[in-house]
Amino acid sequence: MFVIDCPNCGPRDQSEFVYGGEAHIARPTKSEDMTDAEWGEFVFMRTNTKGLFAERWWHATGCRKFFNMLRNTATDEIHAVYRIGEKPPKVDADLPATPAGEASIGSGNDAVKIMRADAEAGS
Amino acid sequence: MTAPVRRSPLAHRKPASAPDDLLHLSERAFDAKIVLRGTPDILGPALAEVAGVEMPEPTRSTTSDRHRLLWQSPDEFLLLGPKDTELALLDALQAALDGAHVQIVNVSDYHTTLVLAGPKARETLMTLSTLDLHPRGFTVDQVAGTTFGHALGWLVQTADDEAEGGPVFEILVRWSHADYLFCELTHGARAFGMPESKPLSGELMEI
Ligand SMILES: [Zn+2]
Repeated sequence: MFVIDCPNCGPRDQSEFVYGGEAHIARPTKSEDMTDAEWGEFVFMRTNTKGLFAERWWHATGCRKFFNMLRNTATDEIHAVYRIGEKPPKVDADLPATPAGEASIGSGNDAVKIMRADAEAGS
Repeated sequence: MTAPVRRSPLAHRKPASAPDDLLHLSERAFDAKIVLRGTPDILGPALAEVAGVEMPEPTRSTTSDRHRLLWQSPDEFLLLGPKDTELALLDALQAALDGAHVQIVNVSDYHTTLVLAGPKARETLMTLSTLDLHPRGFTVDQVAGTTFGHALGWLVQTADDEAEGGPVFEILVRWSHADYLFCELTHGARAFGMPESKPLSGELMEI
């Protein structure tokens, strides 16, 4: 459990919030022209970052607004909170290496690692 | 045919008190409650005209002699008024905001109000809430939407800690959660000598 600083209501317990998934994924405007693969990419594929991650949260019990947050998914350290529509701020995040030296994406789920292997190699 | 009568969700419970005025817990049903959606610059003049209240800062509320206006989110405000004034308020607000990009909804029968008064009110709320309820963390006129146990509610402090019989807190809670919250609050105040709340009719709630 941790405390989240809602941009509208101030610091509140995590139990008041609902997780909204990865941030900054724009909904396609011409979905009728998309292939199933492209649609599937938009609907299902997330980077599942281990480390600094931009994600959406919803303050369910308070202002009931969505906002964005930069959180280290390995340590739960919150680096920034910013509003919907804003770009993620630059933060100095001293990211710890994962204990097992795993890839920076993936959760230990091999399927995810294999599908993303090209992305890893290319970066 | 019998005349239609309304029955508050806690009509079957008596107000509960801990000894030595440490805590009084009661229900105040049927307040007028109007939710207004819109930006403060549009709502402000209408609310000043109709209810005599200023727009509150975030997480705060403002009052006039008969009304209280609660901030609920950057574009959502809850106006409270005396019993049986909701239809007149609704008409006046609709007239004052005619044509504006706003939403005005009468939610008077959506919530009821629980009133906690006395020096142990803070500690009783602390048994159910994750809010910072220290007198420096939650002050008079402050507002928070949060959970109390399993019940969602809006908390507002209406009287100062130094006031006679204070501090006083009010919780706006949904009709169907009111009985649960009343029982949980009497349960939380058991340490201060609050007796178990026995319903005037119906079954005892086990928590
Ligand atoms: Zn909030």
